[in-house]
Amino acid sequence: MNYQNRAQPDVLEQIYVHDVYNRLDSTTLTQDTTAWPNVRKFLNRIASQNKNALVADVGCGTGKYIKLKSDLFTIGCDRSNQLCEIAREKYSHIPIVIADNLYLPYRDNLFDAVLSIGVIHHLTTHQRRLKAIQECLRILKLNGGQLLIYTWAMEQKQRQFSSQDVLVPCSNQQSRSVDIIRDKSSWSSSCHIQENLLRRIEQVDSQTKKTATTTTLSMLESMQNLFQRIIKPASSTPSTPKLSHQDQLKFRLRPFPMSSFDDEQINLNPCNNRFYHVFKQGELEMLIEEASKAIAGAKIIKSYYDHGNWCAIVQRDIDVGLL
Amino acid sequence: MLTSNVLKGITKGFPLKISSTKVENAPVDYNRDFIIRIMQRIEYDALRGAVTDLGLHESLPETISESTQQNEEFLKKLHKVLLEYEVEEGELICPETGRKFPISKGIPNMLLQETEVS
Repeated sequence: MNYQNRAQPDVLEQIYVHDVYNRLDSTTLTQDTTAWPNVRKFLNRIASQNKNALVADVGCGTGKYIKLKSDLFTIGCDRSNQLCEIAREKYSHIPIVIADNLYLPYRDNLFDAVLSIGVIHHLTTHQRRLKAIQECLRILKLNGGQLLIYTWAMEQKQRQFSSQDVLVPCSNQQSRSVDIIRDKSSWSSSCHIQENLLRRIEQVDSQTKKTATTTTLSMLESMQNLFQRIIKPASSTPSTPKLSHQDQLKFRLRPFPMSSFDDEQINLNPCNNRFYHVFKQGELEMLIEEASKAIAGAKIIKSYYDHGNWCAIVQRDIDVGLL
Repeated sequence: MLTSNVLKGITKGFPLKISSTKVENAPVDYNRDFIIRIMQRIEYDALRGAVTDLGLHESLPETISESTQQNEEFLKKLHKVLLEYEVEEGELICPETGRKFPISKGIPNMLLQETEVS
């Protein structure tokens, strides 16, 4: 794809989400195999209400939720062909489809439950996040179908975000407290590629300003702000970032040997930064309510915070007799 | 095969025609309750079309009546057609646009170009 001539939201997602998932090695991708306890609980409840229910896992990744419950029939889909292939190799014969959340290839009014776990936050504009939720609601069964959404929260104990639209280095040791050290070095080394992209966006921006839609322009502006914010600290910080006293303490606590050389390379590769729109408290609910205007009968029945994510369960309920 | 019955093409795009170069048949445990439940959500004509597309030697009745729904032989056949046959290589063809979606290693690729949807 020619990135130089187009700086559209889909291209940014291609660079900062899809390409990353298609490039990472399968060991990194498959190491996260633990199912969130509350996702499991949701699926248990679905299964107890309708035995043999039909479930869609939208953005199924390597498929950890597809075979979780044998009394549910789950069809997975993911935007990344690599993730789909890994999932299908891991769990033979699972039904899986390469598809885009913005255009789900399923019939309307079909699934008893839909999972959207850590997917919506990878979309770069409000309109696209809205469309993604609408698609998930469209395929839900009209009478009682339920959608579970997990999105990364801005409010997290272990991480601080400088803005809601961020590029997050792919670390395969995410739970370790030493991450902050890796993150810093990786953020500064990633500036080069981001600076280049910024320049490209500016070029395209000036060429297409007249014809571009307002959505695209505001998105470009927010991406530019984001990149400038990332670049600024780097120009004042030389290639080796200064560590605070606290960081140094953590550094000393770092187990040795911590990881192989290859491991470091993966973590520090700026190309493996992923785009996230982290959600503020209340934002997911507002987005769902906006999406529900176009989808009859959709209503939030529960929203909560879980392990750094804002989560919601949405139910579709229409009195079928009225249709 | 069950997956092909829930998939659609660009807008309405249903049912998708299937063309295959490699079909596999793998045994799956028979679950009568699941088949009865899924039967209500299957587009039956589309399923019969898919059986013809693939040239499977499985004859499904033209329509399903109350009594066929309870017929054990029919339910087992439905189970076999829905869950045991899998297209490993081939393509799904949208009836509206003729757009072809490739199936490779058992995975249909339903991605669209931005120009196809805007």
